[in-house]
Amino acid sequence: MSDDLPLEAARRRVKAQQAQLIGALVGNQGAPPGFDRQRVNVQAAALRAKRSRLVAAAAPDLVAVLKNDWDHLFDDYARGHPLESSARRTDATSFRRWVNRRCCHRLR
Amino acid sequence: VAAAQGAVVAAVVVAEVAVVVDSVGRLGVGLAWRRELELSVARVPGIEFVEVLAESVNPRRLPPSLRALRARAVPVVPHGVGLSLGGADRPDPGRLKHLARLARELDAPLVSEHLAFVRGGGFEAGHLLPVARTRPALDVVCANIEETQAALPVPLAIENVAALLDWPEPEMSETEFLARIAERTGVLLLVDVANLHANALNFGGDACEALEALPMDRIAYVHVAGGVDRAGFYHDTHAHQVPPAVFGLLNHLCSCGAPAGVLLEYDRRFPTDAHLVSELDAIRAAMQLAHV
Repeated sequence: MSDDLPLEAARRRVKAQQAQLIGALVGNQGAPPGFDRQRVNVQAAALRAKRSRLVAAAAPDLVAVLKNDWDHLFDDYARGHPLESSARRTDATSFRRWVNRRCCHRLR
Repeated sequence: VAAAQGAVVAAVVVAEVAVVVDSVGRLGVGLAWRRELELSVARVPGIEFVEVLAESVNPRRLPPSLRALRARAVPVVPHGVGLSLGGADRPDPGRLKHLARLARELDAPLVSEHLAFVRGGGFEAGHLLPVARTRPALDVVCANIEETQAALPVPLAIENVAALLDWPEPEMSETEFLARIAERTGVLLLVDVANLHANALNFGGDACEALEALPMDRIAYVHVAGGVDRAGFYHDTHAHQVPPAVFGLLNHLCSCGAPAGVLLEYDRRFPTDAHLVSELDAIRAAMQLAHV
């Protein structure tokens, strides 16, 4: 019965379930079965908004250059670049590189 | 006879409260220390303890303002956000070592973390996500908490989080989940009344009832924070003023038991000292209800 899994089996099950939910929230994968889709979208947007605030705080020069383009550019970037646990660069550095490659803004 | 039994029950409850308070000591009225609030923490009178985001402080190079607080014997509680106690994996040894070292350097009365997971599938969520309230998840959380307790030189308290989404087919309520974890592991509780308020609004249910179902004798301290309604969801922002309903919950909690401390949190849109004073005064008034 599912109620009495040994700990390692419980870890494997929880791991698979959590990976699915995070994949939906940050990795553009669909909402896992049984979840309220609207709530998954609201949570995903809240996570991107928090990320945007943190990067903006770390890179005020970028905020000044991108001005009104910040919101849609950051949103595009965040949707395509989930924060990886093994990331070597900071999110702000990655965003700066992405903006440089993506467009017209020439940034240092 | 009924009155006598009532008195016995009351005495037992008081004794249990005292046990928890003893293991942590009195904390009083607190404010979350943030770099942006360094000056406010120094200026605003009556701040009896602070909490510091564990991941933002290097134990080998404590910020001078924290050292100054310690020199005045103001308790500083390391508050972790990155351990992912509710995650599938065992707690990261590096993070545990950091928390333990910080607790020692600060001579902290306890360490707190969240009943949440923050990473999975190779990704970082960047925020605290709710844990499925199932038996397997309960077993994993309890194992992670026990491993953390063994690594820390002081007691651990876990905090209930605010959620925007919930897992399908929960096997128990949030408060039952917390109570079972506390019973199995002996972990203390950091009750965030604003998060109870948020979840009651976002999922229905009565925050007061949820509060009453918590094991009062396990409560180490309490969080209070502000939030905002946005498109039908309550967001626990730590950036807006504390709603009256959250103070109502705090008053209710304090009239049920006596938490060792109650701490106000702001993470951005930092308010003026005058505003902090008014919210800290409301907290102080609530804490006095416990002694009436």
